[in-house]
Amino acid sequence: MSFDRRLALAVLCAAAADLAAIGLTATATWMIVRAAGHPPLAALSVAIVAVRTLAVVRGGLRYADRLVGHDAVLGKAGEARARSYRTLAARPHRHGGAALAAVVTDVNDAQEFLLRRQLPRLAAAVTGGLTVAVTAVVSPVAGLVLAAGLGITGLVLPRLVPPVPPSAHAALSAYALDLTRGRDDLVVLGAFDRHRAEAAAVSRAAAARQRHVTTRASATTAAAILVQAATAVVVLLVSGAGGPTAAALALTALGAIEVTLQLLEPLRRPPPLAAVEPVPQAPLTDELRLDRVSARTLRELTVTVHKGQRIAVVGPTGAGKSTLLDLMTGLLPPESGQVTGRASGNHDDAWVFAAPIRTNLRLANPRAGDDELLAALTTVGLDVDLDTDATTLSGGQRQRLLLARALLADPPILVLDEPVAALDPASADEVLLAALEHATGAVVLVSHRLAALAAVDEVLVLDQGKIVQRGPHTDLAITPGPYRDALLIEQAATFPQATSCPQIDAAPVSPAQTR
Amino acid sequence: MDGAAGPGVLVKDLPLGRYPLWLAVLSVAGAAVVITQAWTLAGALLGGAVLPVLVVIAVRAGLHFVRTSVAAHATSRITHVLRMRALSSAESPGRVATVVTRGVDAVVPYVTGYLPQLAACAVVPVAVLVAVAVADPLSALTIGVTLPLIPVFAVLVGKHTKASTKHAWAGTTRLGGHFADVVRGLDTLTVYGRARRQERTVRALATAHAHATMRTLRVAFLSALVLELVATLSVAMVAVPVGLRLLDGSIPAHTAVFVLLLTPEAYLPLRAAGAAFHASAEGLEALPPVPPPVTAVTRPPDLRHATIELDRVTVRRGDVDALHEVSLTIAPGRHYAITGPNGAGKSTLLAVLLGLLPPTSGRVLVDGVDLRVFDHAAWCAQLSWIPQRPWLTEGTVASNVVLGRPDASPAEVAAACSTAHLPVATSTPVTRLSTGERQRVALARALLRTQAPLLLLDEPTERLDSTTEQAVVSSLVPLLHNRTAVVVAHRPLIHQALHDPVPIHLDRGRVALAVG
Repeated sequence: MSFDRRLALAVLCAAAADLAAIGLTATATWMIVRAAGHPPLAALSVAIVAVRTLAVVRGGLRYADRLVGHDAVLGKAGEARARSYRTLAARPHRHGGAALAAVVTDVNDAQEFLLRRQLPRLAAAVTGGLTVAVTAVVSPVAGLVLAAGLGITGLVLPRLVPPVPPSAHAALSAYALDLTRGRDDLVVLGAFDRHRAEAAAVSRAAAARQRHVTTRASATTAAAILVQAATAVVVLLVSGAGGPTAAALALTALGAIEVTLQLLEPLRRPPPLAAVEPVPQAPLTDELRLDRVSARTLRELTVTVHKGQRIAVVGPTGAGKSTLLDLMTGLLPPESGQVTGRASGNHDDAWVFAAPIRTNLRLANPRAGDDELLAALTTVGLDVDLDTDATTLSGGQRQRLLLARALLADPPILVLDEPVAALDPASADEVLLAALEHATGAVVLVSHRLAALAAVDEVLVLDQGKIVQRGPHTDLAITPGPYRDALLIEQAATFPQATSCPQIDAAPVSPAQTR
Repeated sequence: MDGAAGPGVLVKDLPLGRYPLWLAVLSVAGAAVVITQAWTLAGALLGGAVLPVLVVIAVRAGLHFVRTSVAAHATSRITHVLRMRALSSAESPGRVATVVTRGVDAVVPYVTGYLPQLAACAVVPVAVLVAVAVADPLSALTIGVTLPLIPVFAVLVGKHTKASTKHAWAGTTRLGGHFADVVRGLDTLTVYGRARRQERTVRALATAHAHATMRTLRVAFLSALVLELVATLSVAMVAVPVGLRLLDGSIPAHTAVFVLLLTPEAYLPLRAAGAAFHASAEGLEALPPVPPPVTAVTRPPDLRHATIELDRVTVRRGDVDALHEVSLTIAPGRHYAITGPNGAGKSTLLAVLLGLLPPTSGRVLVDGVDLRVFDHAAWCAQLSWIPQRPWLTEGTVASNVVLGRPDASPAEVAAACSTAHLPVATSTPVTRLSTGERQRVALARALLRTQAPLLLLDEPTERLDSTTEQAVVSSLVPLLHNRTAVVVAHRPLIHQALHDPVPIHLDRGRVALAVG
């Protein structure tokens, strides 16, 4: 059954349950007041049957109402979750962490708003319309009075209820992570208590805002109760107080307005989901060209990656190396210039999913069998079970897993952003060379370790968003310039230490250095 | 009540304050208003005066306002206290984040819905029963016999729902976690061209969650249905005989209408409490545990002069020893260079020195006194630490750098950032920093703690290129001068900043070589 029909059914069930409840009270009251006039028993028989029937039916209708309503809303919530995700995934670009919290909160709020405001409002409209119609048939004036009362409590007063203020969930989650994941850092810095006090202030302010809204809403409900009483009394008076019909109409008015009181509960109205025009993701290519591209720190950069070419990108922190790779993978659209083609691989901050290692690896190559997965792990020197939860890995193991995943994907152009930074120098060079050997296509490698770069065809030296030097490692190593300086510093740092204190750094001299 | 068994334990733990007292007073007032309203309304319906009804209902409206305001104040206080408890607990980060947001929100229905109804249950049915008994003892007898059926049925149905409620909450948490994980890794999925395919997973999990929730609700609402039927049939059992007795004139009309209007009010609080309990059951499963009180006292000795000694320290992680019988002496003013392969226990050794990780066996002695007896905050005040993966809090570079020294002036912050070779403005949000830049924020933090006599550095230049590394190392020289330093150092360059360091080589948790 489609969602809209489920929603309509939910509204009808809710209205039917409300009407049964109102009818039961009204009929029972009519019966008693009529009985007070000592009529023959036959005059009450219809009312007695009606009371018994409504008493049984009412419960069943209420049960159906609750089930059908929740079912419709949960169905809708699943849709909303998928739609939010689709919106996020529609653009193959980087997203902020705050996007997550907002999406999750909005989806929950939308569910709540539908269940507790939109459905009841429609049901109250149906119930109110029918009770006014029935009342007007008996007494047109009473019908008019009831319509006026319902208008005030169902249409005017709900507008006076302030919406629930935006939740402090995003801020509180951030503090929760700071105080748990960052606990050690904060404790040692002596900042833990202070940070918790800030979180307390946020929490207290959120609670105060909530309290203010509740108080306002409660004052509005008190006003609605007065309107309810006044309406019922006027209906009683205009339809002939003392008679059974007037009594029944007064209780009908009380019941009909009671239904509208739930509309005075303050709720958060989630923002509508912004429609996002999906941006198609460029297909992977075996050649890639950046033509006078500017983005973040990069200024008018022109780079071509030819088929099968091995390129290393080096430069000081902040030079634009990760930005360059983001442009190549399409995660970052250029501010100006043109990018033709797309690469894949490990970007800065690549994510390890809370799933078994097998799932994390298959992501890159869904068709790979366990043998292939294990072979990739062997290449990077990671000896773990495929069923291991990937989040339990240490920093070095994690980096090896990311590299294995990139090698499994084996795209025509593979980007690797500092793939071995967390490994000790000995393993770093070994793993990097093995990886370069296993990649079948072109490779663009960002590395701060220069020793292994003899294995690449071309080195790009970036500084402040521009290429300041380029060429093969062997040429750059003997050309005066920033690359040679950096290389000398690295070597100077390696050798004296290695001689004075050989047991500390067991790094074997890499092939690049022996040449 | 089915509720009594569940939340009974928790009422102790919730910081309720005087809320229960307020609820008791308001329930008594509520019972009085309900009875008076039925009495005056009965008169009005039979052609009597309408003014009393209006007055009573005005009082009821006022009572409603007071009740919700009191509940709002209690909620506001209780949610705040619960959040702070969760933020101080040692639970996993994901769980704490869930508890301070959705978890605490889920407690609200318990405080604003269930507890007031529970209070009403204790007062209103009895008061109504007495009022009806005075007016018409026969009807009171019917109510008195049927009323206990409500809690009996509630307990029977409630027993069924408990297990499935637990299951639903676990499902919600799992789904929430998965959704968050997928969204957080969206960039990675995008790079591998897998992002759009995950939509199916998100949808499938949402459907599974909806099915699980509906299974719980079918049972939960069934209990409401049973209670409602019992209540309605009981009212009918009172109403029909009253109507028939009216016919033969054995009961006054006013009494008859009064009994009819009042009877449902006897059952209402019991039913409402049952419903409110189900609405709040989810939150009760998620309540954070109360953290144990912190005990710490003694001030540690001045680390400028004190000697730290590790005495056969072992730290066990699962089946392996992250550190195995490590014995070391750290003399004031000396430098120590820790090396060793990945997973050798280098970071663990620092964590032990930081007092963050108590040894499984063995002791850390400071001038002969066990580290555990010292006030941890006072111990940390003497340390400066650069972790392997520094945690940056939400905010700017500046707000992170001053965490360890909130009194630092902007000029001092700028100087520290410049010494750490941080190439961005201090007002930059940390979310925009690269990994290497984050590392240098941590370095700037450490540089600002100029008064700490013991420095613990865990690969401080790990993610830096060699030019920057050279610059950072030279700026470390003055920081390290005349201070005790324990430095995890794979990268040889860092040794330039160390003065005559004592090498400590770790291998699989054991000290392979220690001179000094």
